[in-house]
Amino acid sequence: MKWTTALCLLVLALTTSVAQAAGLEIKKGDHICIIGNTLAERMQHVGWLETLIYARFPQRELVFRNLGYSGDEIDLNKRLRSMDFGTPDQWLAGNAPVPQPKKLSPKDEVPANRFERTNTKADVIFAFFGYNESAAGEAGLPKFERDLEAFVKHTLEQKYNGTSAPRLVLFSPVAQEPLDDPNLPGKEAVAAANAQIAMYTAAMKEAAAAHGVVFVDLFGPTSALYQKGAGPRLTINGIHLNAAGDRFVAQVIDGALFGPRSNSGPAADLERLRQAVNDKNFYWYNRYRTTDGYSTYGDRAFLKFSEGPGGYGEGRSNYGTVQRELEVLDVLTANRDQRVWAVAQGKELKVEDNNLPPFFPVITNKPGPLEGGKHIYLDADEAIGKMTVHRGMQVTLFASEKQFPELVNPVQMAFDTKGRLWVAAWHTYPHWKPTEAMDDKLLILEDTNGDGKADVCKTFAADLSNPTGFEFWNGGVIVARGPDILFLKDTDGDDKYDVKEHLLHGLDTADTHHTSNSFVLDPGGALYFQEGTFHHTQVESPWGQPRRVANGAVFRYEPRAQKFDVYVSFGFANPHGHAFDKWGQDFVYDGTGAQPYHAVLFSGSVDFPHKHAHPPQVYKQRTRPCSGVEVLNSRHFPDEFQGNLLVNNVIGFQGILQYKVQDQTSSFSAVETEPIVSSTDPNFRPADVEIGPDGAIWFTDWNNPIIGHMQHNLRDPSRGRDHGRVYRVHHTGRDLLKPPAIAGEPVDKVLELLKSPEDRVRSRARIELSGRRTSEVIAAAEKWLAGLDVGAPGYEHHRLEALWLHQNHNVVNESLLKQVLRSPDFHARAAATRIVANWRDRIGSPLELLQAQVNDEHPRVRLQAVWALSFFTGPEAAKAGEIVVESLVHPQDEYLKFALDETMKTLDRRTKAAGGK
Amino acid sequence: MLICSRNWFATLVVITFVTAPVGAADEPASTAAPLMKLYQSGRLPAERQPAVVELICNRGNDHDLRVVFDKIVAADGMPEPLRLKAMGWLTEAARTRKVKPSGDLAGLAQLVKSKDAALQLAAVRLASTLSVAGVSPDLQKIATDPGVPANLQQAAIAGLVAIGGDQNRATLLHLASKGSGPGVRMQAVAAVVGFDVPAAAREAAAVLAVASADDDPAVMLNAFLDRKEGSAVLARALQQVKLPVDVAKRSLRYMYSIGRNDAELSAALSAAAGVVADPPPPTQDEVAALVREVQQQGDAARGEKIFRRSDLSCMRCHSVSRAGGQVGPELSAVGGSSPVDYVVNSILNPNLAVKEQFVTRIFETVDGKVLTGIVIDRDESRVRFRDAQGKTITLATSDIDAEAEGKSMMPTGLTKFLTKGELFDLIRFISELGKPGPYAVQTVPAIQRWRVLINPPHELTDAVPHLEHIRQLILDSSPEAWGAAYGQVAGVLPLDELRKGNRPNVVILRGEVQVNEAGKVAVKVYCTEPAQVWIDAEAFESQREFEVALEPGRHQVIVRVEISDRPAPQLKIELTRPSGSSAQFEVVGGS
Repeated sequence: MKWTTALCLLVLALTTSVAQAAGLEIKKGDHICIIGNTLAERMQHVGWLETLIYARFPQRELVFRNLGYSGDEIDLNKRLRSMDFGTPDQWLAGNAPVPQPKKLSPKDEVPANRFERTNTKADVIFAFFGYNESAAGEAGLPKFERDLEAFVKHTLEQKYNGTSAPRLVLFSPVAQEPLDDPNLPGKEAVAAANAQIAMYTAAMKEAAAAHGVVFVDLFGPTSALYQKGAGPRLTINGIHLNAAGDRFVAQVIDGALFGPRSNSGPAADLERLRQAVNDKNFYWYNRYRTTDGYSTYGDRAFLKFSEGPGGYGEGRSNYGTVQRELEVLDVLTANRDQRVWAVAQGKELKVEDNNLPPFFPVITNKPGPLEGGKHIYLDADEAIGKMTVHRGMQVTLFASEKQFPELVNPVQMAFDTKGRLWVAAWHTYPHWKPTEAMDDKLLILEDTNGDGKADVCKTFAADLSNPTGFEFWNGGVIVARGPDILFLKDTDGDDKYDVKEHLLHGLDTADTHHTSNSFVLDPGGALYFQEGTFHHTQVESPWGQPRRVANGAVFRYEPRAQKFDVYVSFGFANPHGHAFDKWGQDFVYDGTGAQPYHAVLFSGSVDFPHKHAHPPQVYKQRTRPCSGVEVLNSRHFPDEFQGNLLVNNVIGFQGILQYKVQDQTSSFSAVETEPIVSSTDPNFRPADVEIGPDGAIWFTDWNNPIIGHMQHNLRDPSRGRDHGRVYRVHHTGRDLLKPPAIAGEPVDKVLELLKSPEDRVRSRARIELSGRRTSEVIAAAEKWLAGLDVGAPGYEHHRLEALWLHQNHNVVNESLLKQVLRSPDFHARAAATRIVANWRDRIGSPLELLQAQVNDEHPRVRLQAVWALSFFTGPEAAKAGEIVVESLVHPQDEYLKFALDETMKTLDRRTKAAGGK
Repeated sequence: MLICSRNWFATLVVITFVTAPVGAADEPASTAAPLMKLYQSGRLPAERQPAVVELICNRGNDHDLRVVFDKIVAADGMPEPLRLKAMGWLTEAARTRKVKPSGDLAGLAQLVKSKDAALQLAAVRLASTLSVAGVSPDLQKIATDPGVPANLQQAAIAGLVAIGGDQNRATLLHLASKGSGPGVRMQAVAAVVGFDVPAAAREAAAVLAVASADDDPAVMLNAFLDRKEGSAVLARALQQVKLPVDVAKRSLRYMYSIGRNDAELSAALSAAAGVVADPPPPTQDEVAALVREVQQQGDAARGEKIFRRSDLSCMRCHSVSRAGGQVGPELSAVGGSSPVDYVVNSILNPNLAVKEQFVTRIFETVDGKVLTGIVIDRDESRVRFRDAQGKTITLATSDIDAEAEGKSMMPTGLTKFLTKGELFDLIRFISELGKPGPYAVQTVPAIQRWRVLINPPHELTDAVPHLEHIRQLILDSSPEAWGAAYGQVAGVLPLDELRKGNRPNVVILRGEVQVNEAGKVAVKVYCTEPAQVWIDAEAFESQREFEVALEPGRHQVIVRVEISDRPAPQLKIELTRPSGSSAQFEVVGGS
């Protein structure tokens, strides 16, 4: 790798101006804790900083613990955590009491200090703050200086190691990298951001000097490198370091703290050392960021269960069970500290892990009737006999664990552009147990001979954790791996991923039932996923201040522009289910209660910590809970089925409900019609449902006797980990559809598929095009659009598809937008109104356009415009407030009234905040 | 082609040329300024005015509200229906946002004297909330006049509390001890709780001692229960009198039914009612023993009857097959997912584990009230929550003094009224819900939530009525004329529960169907008794199986039943979609 050498030289060049070491003393056995934002958090995944310091001080047996956390700021109020995660001081000191000791069971054996073995006890603290704060600009600087002052003073007053004040090192943010990518912040925006970062860097330097604290300027060297413009790309998005960036910054830090290297070992040794460091960090990360935190140390940790048949009882609590697992992780980490030392010293050490404290066995509170408390599982074929199917329909089995043992706990599924079924298999459910394999998977199930049954099962990814959702994009797949979102891609065609990128960090996992789920793309190419109550999420992006939300949200992420936003901030219990109809209107379900909502009502903009009020529902549900939804659009089924909502339900009624949706003035209502399928097999749990390329209704069956997070110990042995099925339902009187060729087809062929009546075909066509060159796709789209027959039925939808395709490729086409805004079809006008909000920063006069929409003759368009007006900020907020009331000149309904109130609240808050300054 | 409304552009022009908003120049701009502009442009179509006035009341500052207030008191300021509503909105603004119209509000006095009952009631409520001192003499007069309607009297009493002052308080104390009957005395006692809890407790004890079990003590008990330490003070006062057993029982049941079990009050009322004191929650061994007994002795059919008993109040909060209260969880599937001991614990020890959507909050208000409920939503100015009676309460944020997580709203004391065997039956029934068998989740829709005409006129009972009577006396009747009755899990309505001892015993029932897509619906009537059926105003009389074409909208299924003396008279009506029908419909459930 040539650039590595080049970078080393650059580091030397850039740091020689500050060549004297900053004078940080490193003593034998020092514990170094890294705190700060995503810059810090990501370091543990690449590992160069630790590697270089271990290499420099091979005999000093240092202990690194990375406590970085996405979105963190120096202000403690801007470090959101789920309940009883532990305070920053508790983590640094390695000292925290049992959160609710009175609720423990007499059987629980737990240490008084739950962080006893974390080995944090910081002697040295590396603090990486300032980037998120810098988004507040000059106006935010005084507050930052105050917070910094308080932080430094507080830190220096502590004795985290029990004997002396920590040696604190303040690190400035890195500069934002100007990237030659039209989808990311442009040159001017980056320059403006860097001017702000420079300001905050100066403030940090001053504060450090005032307190005699070591300061390392990362802004200067990175900025200088970017200005030279010669180096390799250092970030994935302008602000978050890639592997090269991690190495560069590590070298800068190493040089700044300890001076030029005289003894840097051969590259091969460093790589071995880095592998050892990352192996250690794997365990530490899973300890510090353990998933299911709310049941591990939060409120549900203190539920106690009966041992043997029953419910709650006097047996071991969740806390008593999984706190031990955390201790095991502490020991696994500490064992790897020793290996790191050995490798740093040029030796080898085989890690035995024979010193792990034993796990506590858990006795089920719901044993099955078979010997040893085993549960009865029906064979997947036999289970069909327990199903009642919609008249004229039939269920067939596509795949089961019997044929493919890796097909277990199928939580979400999707079809790729080749028409192959992908399934996320959550073997480690409810979350990974240390010492076992972390082996959640993404599987590809193929029917190669067309007999309607899977005959091949490939493992695309075998090392996932909590894969609560996934969606295809740009030739790869975006998959949840709470608290991160990953991008995985296979570049050599063996159907196994060989590229892995961390796209997002900081999605809370307090309850893995509530963690990022129900991945779905909108027709404009944005990705959505949801999380439930207990969760506290903070996500950074290159577009300004981090997004925060607590206790329930739907997120919106534009993978091309790497824009991340909170789409719905609402006090959900646990949202599960999100589907878009043919015209881009969407439905969001609160899974626990199965309440259906028309998303436009509560997805207008609100500023944290505010949340939306409770909107009217689409219909009153008769049963609960819901695990997933789909809009049925398939010519395989007769007309009366088109546009119906399919709603999975997993308790009481175990099957797929069907609802007929209809316009209800500005919004929708729906009534139940005959269910698609239901079963009397108590294990039957339809988890996900989707229309397949053949037009049939496909669904996964989680197939488990117990499904509650709350009603059984997290480690209850009755939680099934060996079953999973995929079924499909077809109409017996009608032919299946012929799946169209999509993957690898020429762009103009794929564009023709945007005329398909099947939502899922159009969606797959867009996915295919997401991996093609933007210039080629847009040019072809313009041509395709020009060639459409204006008078033909479906023209208005096709034209909207062309507009959506522009949105997919993040190419603003204002004239097309304006045409669709005045389409004769109100559905198209409403869809275009949504895009005005998405493109508001890049089109001429969005408020004028919305003024027309808010006075539209159709209430749906007015509703969408009322929604769109909530997104305006600054001086435009007051203007939007003047425009939005014009909707009152037209007939009202409860939906318009609700949405208007929500938009006015947001705009008023912004106007007031601006007036208060 | 552009299909936009022809007049929207004209509207824009109108809005652009409007007068400046009222309000002093040095004050921050009102967040309702755009609305005021729109309202005062004078060109808002009349039918759009209510929505704008409502929003101004919801969002405006004191100057904005003054504009609305002036229109309310001006002789021709507003159309009558809007005036009435606007008074309600101003009342809400003062109550939940703490914003009152600026300036002198004495102009309201003339409306308090109004001869129009609805207007007078709204004016009394508004004047009370705004504490318009000048109306005190009017309110005293209304409050002490036994001839005025109960709701007006209540509003006047509330006004006397809000306005305060020695004279008003003296009136209330007098009313509490010397009012014309237990009903009004209890109202007055509830008001006195607001300023003198010990005196209120003395009067409460006195009135309960002479009340009968027909007098509903809810309002008065709520006042004590909603006040910090209020129930304890009441309990002590009750020890000084002798309560009729039935009155004590009714009071006790009421307290339990709203999820409260205040120890001192429970003890005092239990002693007076002659029932045992509250047992502690069962231990794990006791739960296990109960589970065994439930499995050996519990009878689900008997249990369903107990579940439906009105004195236990189960259905006030819980629904099964979508019919019943909406406060607690819907129970149709509960047995399918919950082992028996969950059910036992949920009934006898409900605070053991509360699912996230049923976690309650306790709010202590600045004037000393303590309110509990499940939060619906909240913003910086107010919180909305659902209380144990299913009511939505809106509380101004500035009225909240302290807030904490609360306990489950599930009552803990009601099982005291059950024998052991009855408890086994009840638990057995709930454990069977949603399991395959007679208590499985229903797949064929039947009418589950019925409305029962409380006092059917003789035109309906004497003989099978003609259509005109159906229209007048049923379809056009007011919602208050009807009570609720719920079908059993399997859709059967046990008619014996509706017997009143009349001869002939005729009941008028009404179910509802929501149709979203027109088409034919098949109706099947199972009834052990002579019964006639109407769908809206179409007579099907004694047909037992028929199809009816229904248009989109809400439809009434009306049944007239003559209940005989047979042991188990029953009614069940199933609605299905015949093959080939395009109908999409849903049977309406709820409380």
